[in-house]
Amino acid sequence: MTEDQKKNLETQLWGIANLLRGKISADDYRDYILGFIFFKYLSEKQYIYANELLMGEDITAYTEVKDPETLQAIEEESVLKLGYYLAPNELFRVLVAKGQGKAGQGQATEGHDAESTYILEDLQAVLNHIEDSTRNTESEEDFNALFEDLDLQSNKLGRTVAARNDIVVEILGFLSKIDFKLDEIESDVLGDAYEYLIAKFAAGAGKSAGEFYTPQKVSKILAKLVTTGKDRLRSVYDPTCGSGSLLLRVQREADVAEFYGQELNRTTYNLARMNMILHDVHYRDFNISQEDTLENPQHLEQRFEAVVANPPFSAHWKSSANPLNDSDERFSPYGRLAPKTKADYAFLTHMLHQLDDNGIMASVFPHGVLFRGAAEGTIREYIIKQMNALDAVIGLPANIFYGTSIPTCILVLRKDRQPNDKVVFIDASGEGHYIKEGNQNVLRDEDVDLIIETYRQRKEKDKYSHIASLEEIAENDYNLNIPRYVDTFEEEEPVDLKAVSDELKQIDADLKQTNEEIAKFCKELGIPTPF
Amino acid sequence: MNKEKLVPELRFSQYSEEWLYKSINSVFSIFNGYAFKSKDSKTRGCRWIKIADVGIGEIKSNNKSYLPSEYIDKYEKYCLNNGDYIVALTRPILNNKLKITKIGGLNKPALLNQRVGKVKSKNNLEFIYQMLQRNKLIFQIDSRIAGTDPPNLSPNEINTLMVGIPSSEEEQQKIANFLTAIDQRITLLKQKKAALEQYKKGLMQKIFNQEIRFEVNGLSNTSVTGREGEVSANGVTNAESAGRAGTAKDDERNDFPDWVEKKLGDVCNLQMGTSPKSSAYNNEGDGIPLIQGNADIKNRQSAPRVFTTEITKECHPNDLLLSVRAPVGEVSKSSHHACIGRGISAISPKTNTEIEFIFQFLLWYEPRWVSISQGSTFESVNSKDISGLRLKVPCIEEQQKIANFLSATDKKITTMDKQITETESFKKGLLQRMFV
Repeated sequence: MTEDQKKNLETQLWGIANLLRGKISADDYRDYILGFIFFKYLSEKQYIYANELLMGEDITAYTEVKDPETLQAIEEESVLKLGYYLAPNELFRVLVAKGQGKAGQGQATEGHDAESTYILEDLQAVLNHIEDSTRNTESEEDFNALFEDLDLQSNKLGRTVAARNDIVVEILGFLSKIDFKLDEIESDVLGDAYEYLIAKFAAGAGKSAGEFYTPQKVSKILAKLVTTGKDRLRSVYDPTCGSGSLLLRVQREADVAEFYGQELNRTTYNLARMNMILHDVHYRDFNISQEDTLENPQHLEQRFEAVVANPPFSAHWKSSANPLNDSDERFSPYGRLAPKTKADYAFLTHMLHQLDDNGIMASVFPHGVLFRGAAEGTIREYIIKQMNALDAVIGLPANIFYGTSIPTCILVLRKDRQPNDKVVFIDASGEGHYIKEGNQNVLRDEDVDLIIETYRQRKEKDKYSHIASLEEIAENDYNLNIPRYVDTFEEEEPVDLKAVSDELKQIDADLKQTNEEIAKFCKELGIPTPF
Repeated sequence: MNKEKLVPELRFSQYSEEWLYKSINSVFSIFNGYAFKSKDSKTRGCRWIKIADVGIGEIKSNNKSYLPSEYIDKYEKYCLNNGDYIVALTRPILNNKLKITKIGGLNKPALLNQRVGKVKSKNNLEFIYQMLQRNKLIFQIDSRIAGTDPPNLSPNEINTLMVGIPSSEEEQQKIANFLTAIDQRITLLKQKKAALEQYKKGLMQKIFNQEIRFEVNGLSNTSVTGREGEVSANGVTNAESAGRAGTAKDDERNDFPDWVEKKLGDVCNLQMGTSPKSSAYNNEGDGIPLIQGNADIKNRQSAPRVFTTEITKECHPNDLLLSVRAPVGEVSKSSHHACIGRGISAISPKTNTEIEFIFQFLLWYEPRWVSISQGSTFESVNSKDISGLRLKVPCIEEQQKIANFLSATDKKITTMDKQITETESFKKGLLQRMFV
């Protein structure tokens, strides 16, 4: 039932995107569509909540309320409960009705009605007001500049004000036809649909910066890994949280009290906050900041019970060019700094720094972190030998990320390992551990389950996993390349020498006969034989 | 056409009659197949011969299709039987050879799909088949093919080509018999080569897993006769029984000592290559040859293409060359004193190491490098990986015996290659001289 509704909602939402294709470029309409969906969500939430408050009053429909005192009371309650406030005339449905006044009355009245159907300014004012309503309240930070990517004056929407207005009305019109059913169904159905859109849009974008949307199944693995042995988490943290889907995924595996994230890209950061709210995470329970995690960490003093991430693959960073890094407690203990062109270990040690003593961290990295030498080799050895923090290495199939085919792995680290604890190596990259869908490789549920089961039970499985001692890793010079630990070489079938030699004898007999025949012909022709 | 008598240069002496010069359509015709519907395809039934099944002198069997058996009666016209010849009509020529082959091994008729042609003739089909392998004729056919993507052969287009054939059916048959015997020899040689390769593989499995061992006095075990066909079959049976006997009769048979686990770096000297500056490269023969990577190796022998005046790291004749970048682990032999680039590592033996034994071991180990090599776009191994490679090593005498035995098998396989090529060019010569 909900699964159907979700599918249906996804189709409808993506349908709007398709309608606009050609009018606006994909990257551009993404921000608008996602923004307007969010606006509609806030609006419906407000409407439902206000109606709840009005129950038993004289006027029970929020849109009918005119009395300033009642409105004042609703505003106060709403800011406290929802974190924001929308006046009745600011509701999505009201704006749509106004905008469609033009569409409804047709050309005959053009000019006459033009002013009243023009809603861009109203809309801008509403969006500003949502932010304003949170000023000086607890939720201020979560709503601050949330709609900044919704630039209603942008030429991208259209060259003239009228054109821009038309297209906005069109988008809002389509959206208004979709029933989010907030009062009926679990609210995260919309959240899922929202994420689906983010993923759809992300499939084609972000390559240049090494940013890739984490495929759902990979998120699921990370979420399951960090919740091993736990059904509730005090906190979960993602230092490169993107649109926040990884954080939200953890919530499905355990009760999460608080969400923390940091994201460099402002647009994605906005999406992350919307995503949280859409998934009904209360504004008090999440804290997402926008800044460069390596340069300007925003949660440095905090420790988290779960850390998950899919940091940009081999991003560039300042490394030793920033003198502060040498003494930064996140990077300095390891003796060397991660190289300038490969920030992978900078992210890894940052995460390790933020990890609580009883916590688990799991993160996706390119394969290189397993075996690259020089500074990275030194850092890797320190993490394994001195800190004994490495708990598992999981090799994923190549080509499971949208837009890049590089092979990736997941590293699991913890700070509560005992001196003799072993390290789980899993090679989930082999045939039979994924399926092909188009030109993409995709993990199935059973593939995810096998990885998790193998990790949790620390099982040795032929050609799939190996439980290695620290000595074994030391013997391999702290090179973690998975084939060194998980032998996937298929020994060839033994050749039956007797059969082959019988065959050879038969061939020789046949050859002898053929040769005799040829010799006879050659003799007749008076030419030498070819043997 | 000059007035000289139309006869081939090389001819069986009992025939003296002049050959006839005829247009193709009066010698044979090509009958196009039927457009069977793909929805009629079955998992069993009668074989459905499609264009992709027609190879050069072979029917490909890697992707067989079938039609319902009742179609044999329904589409009788399109049936194929053993002994029929078929030709591909789309992309008919590959590497100057016509895709034409004889049908064989069917236990019930097959059906002919469209764009596959059946050769029909009152003349000797085998003769026509051989004639259609002549370069000159293929070239003429090629020039009449319409379209480039895909090139399509239309039977009508080649009807007017002129070919010479003996008027006597008997002479046609005799020529065909001779050339067919040559074909048969080539097929057998190829089979033999494949069998020998299997044999070598089996030997390596047994030897490097120490399932068979040599004995001190068992010199005869390693003997590999030079004569065709007798190779090693005997050798191995003896070696096998020796292995068994060795444990049974210790007093009489003197086995070699146990193999010892070593690292490659213990038994060999390694030299990792370093690429010289590209400005030092030249084609004028200045300096010494450069072996940069796999491209400078042919048939497991060094085959450098350029010289370098800057000499970074060197290899010498008889050194082994190991590829350290994708594909990692390919081993070959150096026949040059050359400079080696960073894709190559040179291996030379330390005392008490037989380099041919190491070569054979590395051949056997080749598919196993994957467990060590790393990197996503560019797989590679470093000097530590190579020198740390573990292997079990017998004493020098046993190494030599194993080396001799295995390399004799290799030589045998190389001989087969040579024989195949020679027989093929022999046939080419016959095709040139036995036709007009």
